[in-house]
Amino acid sequence: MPFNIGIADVMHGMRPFETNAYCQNDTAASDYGKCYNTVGKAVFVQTDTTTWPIDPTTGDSFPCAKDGTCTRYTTTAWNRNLGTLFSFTGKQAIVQYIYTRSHSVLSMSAAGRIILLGCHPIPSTGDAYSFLFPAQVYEQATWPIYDPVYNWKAHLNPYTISIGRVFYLRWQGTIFTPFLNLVAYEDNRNNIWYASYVRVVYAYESSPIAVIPLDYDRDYVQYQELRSAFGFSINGVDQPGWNADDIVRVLKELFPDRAWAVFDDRQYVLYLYNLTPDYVPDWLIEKLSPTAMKVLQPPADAAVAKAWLDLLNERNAQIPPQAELP
Amino acid sequence: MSGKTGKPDSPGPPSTPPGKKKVKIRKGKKWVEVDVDGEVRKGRFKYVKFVDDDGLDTYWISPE
Repeated sequence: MPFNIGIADVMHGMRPFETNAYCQNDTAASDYGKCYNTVGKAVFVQTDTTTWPIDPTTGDSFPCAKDGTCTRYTTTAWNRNLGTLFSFTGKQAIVQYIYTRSHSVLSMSAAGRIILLGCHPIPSTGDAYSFLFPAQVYEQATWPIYDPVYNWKAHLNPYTISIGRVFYLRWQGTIFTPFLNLVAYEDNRNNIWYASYVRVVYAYESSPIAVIPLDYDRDYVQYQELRSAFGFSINGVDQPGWNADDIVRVLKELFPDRAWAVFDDRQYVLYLYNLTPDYVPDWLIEKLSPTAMKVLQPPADAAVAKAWLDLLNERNAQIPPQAELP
Repeated sequence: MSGKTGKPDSPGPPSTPPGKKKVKIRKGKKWVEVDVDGEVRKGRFKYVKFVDDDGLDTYWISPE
């Protein structure tokens, strides 16, 4: 195949297709800061760490912080980088489809909305980044929301949001870019929260790929060897390189104790390291259709292989069905 | 007996235990017969397990 398709799904503090995703932003409420019906971590910005509800002794007492459903920032920002969706050194992806939905505080007319920054900043509304849309000014944050791509209004509000605003956006087109970052526009505001769901669909040339979920900042960006061998993708799968042998060599060197796989797109062989086919999810087999799987090294510790599978499934939750271990 | 190798001229017992399944797989442009150690099904695909020439446990897509 000349091209592969990559899908990046990122959730911050909400489920993509369920209602009642919100965070309590009433400071008088006992559950102030609590986020409901969430996946991942919602974002709170509160610079004052000494006043209620922040406990000065612990410095962190949001209910959502306690149960691990939010991330609190103590500095304000105009644009906050929430992470890298993909970064291909020397290769390009073709971004084709973007869907974003973000919930934020009622007082935020546009803040909390999600934008994506590649070679071109895409997409946002109302100001500098709206050039990609057929209509530069359209309704936002109220229902029904005008969809400029399809030129229709969504008359049915599928989200029962208890408090706050919903910002919804869909874009289709073609943009070539070697990287894409997920950014939230915060309008330099304090005492805000937002939760979001983002899906990006992109294509890239068929290549040998490294199948290993990595943390971009901690595991990937500082290693020149990795960046020279293959690109990073947040889904841990669509990570194109140039040479399967090089990818195997560098992964053996840097991650000898982790589980990973390398797909050779010329031989259609999936090489497994610290893995057996039992741990390879069916959806990955369907995606790659390998002629053969070769076990470079069986797992010394089943937990290592299981960790690889769990993280891979978590980052590709949009692809059913999930693998079932024997 | 062959004078050079000392190996029997007639086929000896199979190198794999009796009853071990043999299947022909297509490697490159050639059909190769391999002794199957097991089978695994992944999604729509079925793979047969054997030890390949490189010594690695290999799972090859089943021709059946």
